[in-house]
Amino acid sequence: MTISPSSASTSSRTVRILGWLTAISLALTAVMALVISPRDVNMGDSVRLLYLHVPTAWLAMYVSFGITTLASVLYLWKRTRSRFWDLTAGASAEIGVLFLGLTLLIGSIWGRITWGVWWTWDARLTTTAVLFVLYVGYLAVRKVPAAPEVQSRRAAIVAVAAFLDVPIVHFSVEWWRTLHQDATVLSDRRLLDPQIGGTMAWTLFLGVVAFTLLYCWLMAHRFRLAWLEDRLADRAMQVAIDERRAEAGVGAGGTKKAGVS
Amino acid sequence: MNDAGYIFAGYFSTFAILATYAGWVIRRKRGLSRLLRPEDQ
Repeated sequence: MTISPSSASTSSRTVRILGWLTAISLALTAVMALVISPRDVNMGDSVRLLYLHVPTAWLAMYVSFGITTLASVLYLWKRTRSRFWDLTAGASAEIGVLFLGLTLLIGSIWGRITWGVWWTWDARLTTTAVLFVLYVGYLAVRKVPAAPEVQSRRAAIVAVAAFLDVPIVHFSVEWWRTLHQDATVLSDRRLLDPQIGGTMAWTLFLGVVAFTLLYCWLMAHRFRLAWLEDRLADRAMQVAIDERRAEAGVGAGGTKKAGVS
Repeated sequence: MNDAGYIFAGYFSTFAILATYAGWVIRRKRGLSRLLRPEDQ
């Protein structure tokens, strides 16, 4: 599979519309969360932070890292191996790390209000912090100098291994006794009987939609950037090869030019 | 609103971080587009 220049372009009308839809839905989420949605009986106003915390966690763990893993598997599989999947995996992981960092930040502020501490070594918090470190490590591995194919294969293996922590994070609230509350929606017990309703449920739903649109918009731009970086590296390599050839007096076809020692 | 300082700090930092990242990606992308010839893009 190859990428055509048009497929890597982000100047399309679709991406611009996506950008506007993202901005509008994020603004609506903020208004719903801060103004319209009511206080929670138990959590009080701190529940307003969950309209950011849940969507960022959903985007980071399931969408971003899920796509990174899928793209990495497709890269590792010889029949589908292509630079496209490697660049997709890298772009999605970077956005995932950003969202997971925000999840930890907002969760920490929520913890300060509710538990009175910024951080505690609770099972959910610790496994999430480990996940963050694993994907920062993945991004670091992508930067370790090597031949492009070696670099991509190495990164793909790390991405698949790092994803093993996602189910551990997800089930940590069921496997261990934790301070962190159980899943509000995404569990076998809660899926058909979510512990949220009315305006609060709609605000959470809008937040998830807004952040999913943001992920798509960021991916379009981040992938395009990765594509341009890749093209630039290729061109720099070609320039270096041409310079070496010129120094050695070898023509484009590999034949030594007459009269040049 | 109780704990308004914490809540607004959470919202402000989230949107500021996201806007900074988006701005960085778009600026760098435009910079690289200028370095490459259209046929290389």
